[in-house]
Amino acid sequence: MPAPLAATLRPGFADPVFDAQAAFRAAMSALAEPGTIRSLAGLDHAPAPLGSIAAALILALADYETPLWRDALLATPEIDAWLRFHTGAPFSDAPDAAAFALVSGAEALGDLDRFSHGSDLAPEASTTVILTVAGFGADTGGVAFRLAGPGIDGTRDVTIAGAPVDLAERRAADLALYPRGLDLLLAGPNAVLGLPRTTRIERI
Amino acid sequence: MTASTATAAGGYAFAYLDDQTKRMIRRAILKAIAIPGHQVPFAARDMPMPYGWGTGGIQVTAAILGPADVLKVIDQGADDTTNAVSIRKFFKTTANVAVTTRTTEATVIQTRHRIPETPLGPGQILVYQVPIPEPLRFLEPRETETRVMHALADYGLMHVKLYEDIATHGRIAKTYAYPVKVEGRYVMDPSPTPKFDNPKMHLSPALQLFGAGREKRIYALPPFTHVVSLDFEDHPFEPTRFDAPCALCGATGVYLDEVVTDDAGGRMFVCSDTDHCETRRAEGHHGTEWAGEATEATA
Repeated sequence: MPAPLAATLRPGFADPVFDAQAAFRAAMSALAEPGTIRSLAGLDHAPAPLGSIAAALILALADYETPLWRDALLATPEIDAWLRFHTGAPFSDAPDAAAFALVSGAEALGDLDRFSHGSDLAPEASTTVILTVAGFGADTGGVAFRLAGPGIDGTRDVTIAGAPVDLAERRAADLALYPRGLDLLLAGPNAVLGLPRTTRIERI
Repeated sequence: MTASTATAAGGYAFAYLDDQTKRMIRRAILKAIAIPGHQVPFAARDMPMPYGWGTGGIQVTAAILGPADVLKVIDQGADDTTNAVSIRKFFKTTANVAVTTRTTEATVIQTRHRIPETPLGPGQILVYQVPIPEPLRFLEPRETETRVMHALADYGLMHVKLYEDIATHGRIAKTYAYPVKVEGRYVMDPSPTPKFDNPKMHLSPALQLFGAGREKRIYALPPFTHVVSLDFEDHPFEPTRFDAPCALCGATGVYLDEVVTDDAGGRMFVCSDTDHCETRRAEGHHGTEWAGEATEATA
């Protein structure tokens, strides 16, 4: 007999109103100023392997209106139960039908074309991908990128560990589709970094 | 959580809106930021005030506001007009946030029809109340058509309108809600701000969010976004200029309101931005009509 739900279900936000607001503001600042590292309080008790920052972002943003796609690593019964209880979001097996995609790492990201890029009439109807990465900053030994576009005064350099090595090439292909496109929220160990569809990325 | 952390006076949810509504608005804001100038539909709620009083801006403010924010509300530049006072009181009551009239102290500034004269800085958020978000509305009444025109970046009609202005009046006659092009892609209505304020939107370090309640649209300009007023090579965009300085603080290069002073044709022109004017007077700048600060009447 399986353990009762209450015994296995991990908690969500301690304060749903203000914790969700803080997570949203971090995501908003991250997308408004791409490449800035926006720290926020994660949900350390989220069921593994769902990262604490990705967990906070999805709880702040998802609900019954937003189909969720998650990669195979994150589709565990425990995570599913936790997401279903705290967000009420329906799961989608089709990435291009998802409002949010939870991706556990670069190797699970796959072809970006499989997510919804919206339409020319409704470019906002595109998937927001929450991708867990290892960390930000030069001391992480990650890959350095130079960013430009709206939200950036000139250019901004950022080092990301655990991002796809061909991130610049893959996003360049997406840029040609503008205003259609994908928006990425990179979830590090304790911060979020936004890469909206408008950001031009160059590997340096 | 305890109920007291999330509620303010009278048992209202923090900043009035329920959490599901906030999430819906927040998602629209994120997409609006990702597609600068594009109008994102959202399910605007009925607010406890009529359309036209800033229900769109209020919903955006309510969705982003947190307990650490400092809110400023202006109406035509002034902190002390009915709309500004009412909205400031609304958020003071429902969110118990700190409020200010000082542009430099505010983290969130909700505005009706002006951009403050004091340059905005990084980290500040300007929330516009928008009556009609669609810049093409009076050229093409069908929403289905204007959406296609935006999708195709088909803005020829707007240029025809501006050209007809020149043919009729010798210049582009639009003085407010002057259309802009965002990042070379979307034509956007800056809300009924005077065209004087258009240059302030270009490469502003502040985040600019636009909310239209009745029309149920949210759009945005991230910081450092290219915002260009539409014009022609031989008829370049020209912001409004004023001949005289502010009669109270002597400021030049600011937007002035005409104030009728008597019933014999007397008038003066004063700063529309009350905070800017008061700050300058406190610094010792005085205009021709300045007669000392009014003091509180004592009984």
